[in-house]
Amino acid sequence: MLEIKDLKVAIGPHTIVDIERLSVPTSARLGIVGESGSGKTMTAMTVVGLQPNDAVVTGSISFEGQELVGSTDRQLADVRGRLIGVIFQDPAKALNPMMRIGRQVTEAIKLHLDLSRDQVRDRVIDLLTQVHLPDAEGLLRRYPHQLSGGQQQRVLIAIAIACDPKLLIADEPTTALDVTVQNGILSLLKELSESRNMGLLFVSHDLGVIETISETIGVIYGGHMVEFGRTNEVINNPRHRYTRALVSANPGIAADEHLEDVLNQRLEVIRGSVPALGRFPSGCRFRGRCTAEIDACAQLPEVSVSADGHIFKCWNPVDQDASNHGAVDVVH
Amino acid sequence: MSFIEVSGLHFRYPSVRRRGDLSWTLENLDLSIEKGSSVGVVGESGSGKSTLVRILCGLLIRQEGDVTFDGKDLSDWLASDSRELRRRNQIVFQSPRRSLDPRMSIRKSLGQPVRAIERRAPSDDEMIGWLERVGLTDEVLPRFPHQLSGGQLQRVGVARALSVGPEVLYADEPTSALDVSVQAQVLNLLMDIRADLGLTLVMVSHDLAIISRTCEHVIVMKEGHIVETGPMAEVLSNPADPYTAALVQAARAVSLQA
Amino acid sequence: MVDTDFAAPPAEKLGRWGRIRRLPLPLLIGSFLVGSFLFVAFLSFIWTPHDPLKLVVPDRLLPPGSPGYVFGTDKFGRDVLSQLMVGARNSLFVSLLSTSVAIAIGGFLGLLTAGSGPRWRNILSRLIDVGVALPGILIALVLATSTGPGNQAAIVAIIFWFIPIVARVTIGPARQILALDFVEAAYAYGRSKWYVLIHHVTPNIGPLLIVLASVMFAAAILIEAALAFLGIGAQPPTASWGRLLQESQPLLEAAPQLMFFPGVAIVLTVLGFNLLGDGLRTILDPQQASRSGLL
Repeated sequence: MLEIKDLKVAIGPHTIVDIERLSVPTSARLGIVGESGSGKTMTAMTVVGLQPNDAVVTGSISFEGQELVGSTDRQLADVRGRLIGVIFQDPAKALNPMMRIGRQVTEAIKLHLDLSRDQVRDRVIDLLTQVHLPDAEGLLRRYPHQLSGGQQQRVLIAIAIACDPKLLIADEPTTALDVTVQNGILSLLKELSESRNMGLLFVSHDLGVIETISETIGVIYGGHMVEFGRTNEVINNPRHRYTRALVSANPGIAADEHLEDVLNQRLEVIRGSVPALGRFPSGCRFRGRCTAEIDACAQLPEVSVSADGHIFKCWNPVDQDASNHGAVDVVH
Repeated sequence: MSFIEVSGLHFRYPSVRRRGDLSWTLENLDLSIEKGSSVGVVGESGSGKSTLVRILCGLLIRQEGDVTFDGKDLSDWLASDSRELRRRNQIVFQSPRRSLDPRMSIRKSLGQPVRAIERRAPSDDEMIGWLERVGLTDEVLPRFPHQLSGGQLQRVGVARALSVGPEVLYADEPTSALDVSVQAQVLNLLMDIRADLGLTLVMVSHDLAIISRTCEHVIVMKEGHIVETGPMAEVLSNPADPYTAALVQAARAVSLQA
Repeated sequence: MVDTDFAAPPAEKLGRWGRIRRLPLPLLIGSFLVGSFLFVAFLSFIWTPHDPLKLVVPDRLLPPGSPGYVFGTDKFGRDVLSQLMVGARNSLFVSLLSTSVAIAIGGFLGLLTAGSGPRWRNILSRLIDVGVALPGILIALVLATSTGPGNQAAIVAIIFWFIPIVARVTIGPARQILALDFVEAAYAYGRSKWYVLIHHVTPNIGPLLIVLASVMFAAAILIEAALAFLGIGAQPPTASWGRLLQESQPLLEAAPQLMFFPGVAIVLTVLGFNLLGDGLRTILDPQQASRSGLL
């Protein structure tokens, strides 16, 4: 459904995103994980044409056969909302504080669909109910500040799916929310994706959240997609050194019986810090922080694909574990 | 009596409105912290955890209740011996970029606590020593905050806090604003210096995973109340309060299960 | 494990002229214009082409370019250039004095308000708002009628006019600074609120104040000229660009140079100060400065 090929996004002399291939099948849930400055948000925004004005985009982003790179603003505006919905990180900032909730959802609908006033109103109430907001009718007349963060995000989701898009792009939608609320939003997104056959492109820095919601994961570092594959596979059997380091550096809550054992244990660390824009090393982006660097790493690694679709770009990857089968093909 | 003891604490932020019954930001808190322990204060937004920490280190003044530090009431400390109180209690903040004055060089910022509390100017050698303890070199001294990365700034913040030799280090979400790949560095640093210097560490976080790995005790807060306290492993595996249970369950659901 | 990866590159070594070349253009132009203005104003103390006060009636209303009178003469034969130079002196004096006093008092008031608890902050803010709402010209008129017109009235009027504006402008940014963590850190190692206001808040709003000062200075020059034009400000024989403009009005067709040169002088000086302020803001912000390679 969404096919990205040789996508490069550059601002000035810096290439912020450099992705050879990324695809999201219809109604699949893909998570993109990366830290600040990794280019994950830029990638997501570029898909719907929301990249900064001075960004230069080359390559191909194909959505249901329609080429998005190079499309005019008008064409993209049509795609946005109707075919691809977007939700952002901070719900309080994404909602107009001066406009009632009902009107904000209505606007989203009226923009793309031609319905009568009553039809629109029914649809709004229906949407608010679908996102599990109580008392949808009462909500119509309320203002954003009268809602909690979680409720605001649900409204935004309602707006994003108002016109039945085929793909929903979510950029860190739960980062600003409390953990007890996060789960609710994540389940909602999963539910909507399944019931509507809607694809989900979920961007986050939080591996734990990505693990919860995505079926496949892409790991971005320095604008490059360094690893891609089924979530389970990538997290439990990471091949790229960065992915493995990321997983080890931020372990979750240990199981009850191990809590005492891991207390005060030093965490595994990733040396150094994410380089500033334009200061990434040549060759493999993770050079200088990697613990398994070899001479070959001075060259940009080629893409390796294993039989089950696990893709990574590393000259010295983590050893395959015994249960992994199939030869690894190096793709030129 | 414990090192830090709180009883019946009530606090609300000063406000202009006086009509009606203003609610307490913190209500009826009781807690005690032993010397040398590591305590995690967890809660969601609005729980008052950051406010509590600020009261304990003397940045906010409570309206009601008792707070004692090393046997003496906090108000007495502030009235008669505030410099000593400050020397013994220091704090590290959440946002590395906002914890340092952007117009002051690192050298100047780093020397501030010693100038204020010990009334003397620290030597470069001393400062290099503080920096080494947090894994930085003298290269950062002439620089300005905008030239350093978030991780480095956070280390400078820790070095600054430790420069006066405190006994208690408060950390308010010290890693929340850092990149994921850098968080572990700062947490290790905190654990290391706590072990080296025998510090009492009080860390506020919304991230239960971090708390579970660095704090021996845990205080769970909700809407200005303390809901539960106890040894970390105990509280997490056998929460007594339903809110704690919900919190732990939610945190486990979104934490990595690798 | 040592962390040596820096977010911003260290400054490159610049040659002697490198630093000058890197200065922002507005700063250079502004400095030039302001420098010229100051130079002319100070020069007027020791030398002017002709005595600006001396009436030389036979040489009245000469056009610019006449021998000995580069900018021409007015209806009494007084050299326009000399009058401009002395007028510059007056503008400088009035504007400098009023702006500095207003910034000092207004800034202090703003800091005081920003650092106060909610109740006092509200009270002071409202008072400041009232001050801002008062029309400056009205203050000037009232002062002129009660204490008599002249430079003092102009100076005091401008000061009263500007203080509430400076105060109001500083409250917001000062409060923002006070909300930052390093301020809390300062309290945590025992600094007092006034220490923080002076040593942390003021340097951080410094650039703002400097830009404000340059813009207000420009405004003060305009106001001084306007007040002189209206007859409230500098009285004859004190030269003022505003008064020159006023006197040029009836003679506009016969001797346009009498309006042109004072007008241009005002425009260039005001422009100069505005550009200077813009340029100063750029170099005073450590982040911007290192971006242009100066730090």
